[in-house]
Amino acid sequence: VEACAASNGHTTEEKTDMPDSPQSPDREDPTGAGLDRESTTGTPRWVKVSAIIAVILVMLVVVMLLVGGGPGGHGPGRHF
Amino acid sequence: MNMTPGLRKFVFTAHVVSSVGWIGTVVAYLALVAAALTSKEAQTVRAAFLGMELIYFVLVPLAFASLLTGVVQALGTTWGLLRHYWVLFKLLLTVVATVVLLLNMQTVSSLAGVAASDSADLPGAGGQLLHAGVGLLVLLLTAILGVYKPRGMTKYGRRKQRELRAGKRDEQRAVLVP
Repeated sequence: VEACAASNGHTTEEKTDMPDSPQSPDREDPTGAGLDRESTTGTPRWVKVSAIIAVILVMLVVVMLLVGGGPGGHGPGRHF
Repeated sequence: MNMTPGLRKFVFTAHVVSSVGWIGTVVAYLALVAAALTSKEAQTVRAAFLGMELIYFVLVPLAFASLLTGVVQALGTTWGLLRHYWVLFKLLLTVVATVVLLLNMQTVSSLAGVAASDSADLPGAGGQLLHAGVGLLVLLLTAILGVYKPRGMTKYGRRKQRELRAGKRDEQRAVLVP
């Protein structure tokens, strides 16, 4: 662990101080193979799914704004 | 650019406190929205709208503190701001939440103005339920991202990692072959 921490430019104490450092996801994998795998693989599935959901939501909001009469229809006057 | 452990802890604490505080304040805001929607007492409804306007004095500083400390923390550690997808998503969600919060401020001010006037018509709070409800979901999502930190590096992050490794290899060679 120390060697791993040192190779990343941190001391072991620093690593303990910051439990959420980038090395944390690989804590269960002391060989560091996980980090290597992460660096070579493409975009993860969760990113693709999230991006699709985000695009759908943005389109939905735009449609709602347009149906509501554009930016002018979204404001204080809309709530009376 | 890495921060010292002491500074890192301080910024991390400030980020957690401001982010959790922001979530808690939105929950309190939703309680006022619920009061405005369900109460049959005109005075309660008026007071709820005035309370919503006052809560903005807490919401806006917390939002900016959360955004600022998050950016400083990302830039000051090896996570970086654009290297990992979860950090990038968290940043985008926080920026969107802050922008919507600021845009909604004008609406709330206007509603509170009507509620404070002698007008017999009371404003509706349906829009506030939507804004605050979706806002709470977005903030909970950022909290989940911050805790679980799902894997995945951006192209920029992978390139930076390769550069870092190449630099370290060169350093090791220089030590072994003087």
